[in-house]
Amino acid sequence: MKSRERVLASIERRDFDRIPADGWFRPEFWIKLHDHFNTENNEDILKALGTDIRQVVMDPPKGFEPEKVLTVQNISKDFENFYATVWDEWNIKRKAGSTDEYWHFTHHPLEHVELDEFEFPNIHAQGRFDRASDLVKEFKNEYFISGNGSIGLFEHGWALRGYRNFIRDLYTNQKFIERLLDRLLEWKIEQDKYFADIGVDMIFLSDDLGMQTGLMLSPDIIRKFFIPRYRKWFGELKKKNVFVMFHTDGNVEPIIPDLIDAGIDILNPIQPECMDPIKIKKLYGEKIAFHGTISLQKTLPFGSTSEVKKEVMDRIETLGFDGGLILAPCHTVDQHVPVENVITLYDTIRE
Amino acid sequence: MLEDVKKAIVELKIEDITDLVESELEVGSSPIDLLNILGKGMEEVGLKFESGDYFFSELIMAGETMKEALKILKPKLKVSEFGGKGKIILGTIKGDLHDIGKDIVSTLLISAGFEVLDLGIDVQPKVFAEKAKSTNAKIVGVSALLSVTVPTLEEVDKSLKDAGIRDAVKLIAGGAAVRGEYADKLGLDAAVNNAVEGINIIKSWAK
Repeated sequence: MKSRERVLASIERRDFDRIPADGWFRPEFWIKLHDHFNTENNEDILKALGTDIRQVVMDPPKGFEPEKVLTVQNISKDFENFYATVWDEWNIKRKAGSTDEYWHFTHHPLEHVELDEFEFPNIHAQGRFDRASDLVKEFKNEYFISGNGSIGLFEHGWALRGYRNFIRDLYTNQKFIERLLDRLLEWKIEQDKYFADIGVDMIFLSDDLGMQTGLMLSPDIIRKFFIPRYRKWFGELKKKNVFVMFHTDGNVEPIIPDLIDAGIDILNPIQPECMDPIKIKKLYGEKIAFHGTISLQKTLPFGSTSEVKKEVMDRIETLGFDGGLILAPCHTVDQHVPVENVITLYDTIRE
Repeated sequence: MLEDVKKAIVELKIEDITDLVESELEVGSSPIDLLNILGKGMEEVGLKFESGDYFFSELIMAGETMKEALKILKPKLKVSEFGGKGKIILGTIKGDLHDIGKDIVSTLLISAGFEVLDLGIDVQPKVFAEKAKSTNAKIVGVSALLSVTVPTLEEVDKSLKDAGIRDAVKLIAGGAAVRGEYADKLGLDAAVNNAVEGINIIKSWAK
């Protein structure tokens, strides 16, 4: 079975030969993989691991070069876009911490400029999807293609406005929030239409609404400001025949029915430390598929290879028996995770 | 009325809080009475968070409302009145850049009468010990959201020992990555992943 068919079969609950696999790795972890496999060819490594999805991202437009700080040299363009950009075309700035692994935000443009005077980048500018389009052509025959549409309305909203300001606005300046979210929504729908037009199978978007023990925002706020816009957004994507995968970390149990109603097809990552995957499968497994579920807070960084193997087997047995599952680490794997554990994860899936 | 000030905190009336505090001061309420009633409001917000009536965003809003009130009150409070419960060192551990949870804890601690010395994010373990020693603070609070930074918490315990002040200092860690069962393993006096629970433990230490 080809990878693409395998993923489609799992999402659509048709017969499949094995549970499909996916994964995201930080540049520092890629270096560990290069050493382990004795090659710097990332595609060869993904083939060896047996991952079934290939990811494409939008580039900045031709002529715009974001400011980057490369903490790991010779990483691919995708990783530069994701991990090295410290000043982007939205005028959002970031700064790396002392360990060079993660960054934090240092400049939010809408702290300094009125929304009406703030020009969004031109989504229709040339060059954004050239590389993604070539990659889709290269991989589509074999693999399921994910258009990584990056951050959602909440994350992008607070990155533009500042987290505390954005939360204050949600309670005290709702007209501003409505205008900001509407403009972002319009921009993101256009972005994802381009992804759909170049032939991706799925849009993957990330809007972290959860934290370890519960929702970051009250369900009322989420239902008032975000769910109706998600519904419009995902409705537009359905017209383009692409699947929607929604990422949010943490425990988001109270709003899963709302997300399903808004039109998500796949929920990522179902962190086992935050929500019980078996319970979520039982409640919602007939309506949506799940991506992720392998512990990146405990098992992968701190467990033994036999514990990793056991967790993978458990997930296949309890969640994957009738499809609707794509196994992957619950987030981007970083250098603190032993390579052997990641190899065991993918070996177990293939076995 | 003082009750209205408390109500403004509990009901997240950030737009009303400045006027309410100023009019209370005008009618003769003392700054310390106002601080106490604000603290009671924050306690009630904490209870609402624990019972699930309030969410994280509401904790933040209560904290922001509290900060607006403190802008007026802080210059009017005597040194002995502000932070009378004692000093506490707070910071996010090296390698971790999250600050929102830590800031919430900071506001809750200030409301509960503590003086908070906030070291910010990405703090080297030995800096916690140095600051505790130089300020004679008896409590150190460390925030950790990333699981991979959890082992670094042990280094804070070690730094306090190296500085010769471990027995004089209580060490608490909090954040998404932290579990209660880690405390013994990492040399912590307490480990929590809930801000309000952490505040209650710290309050019990300060009694």
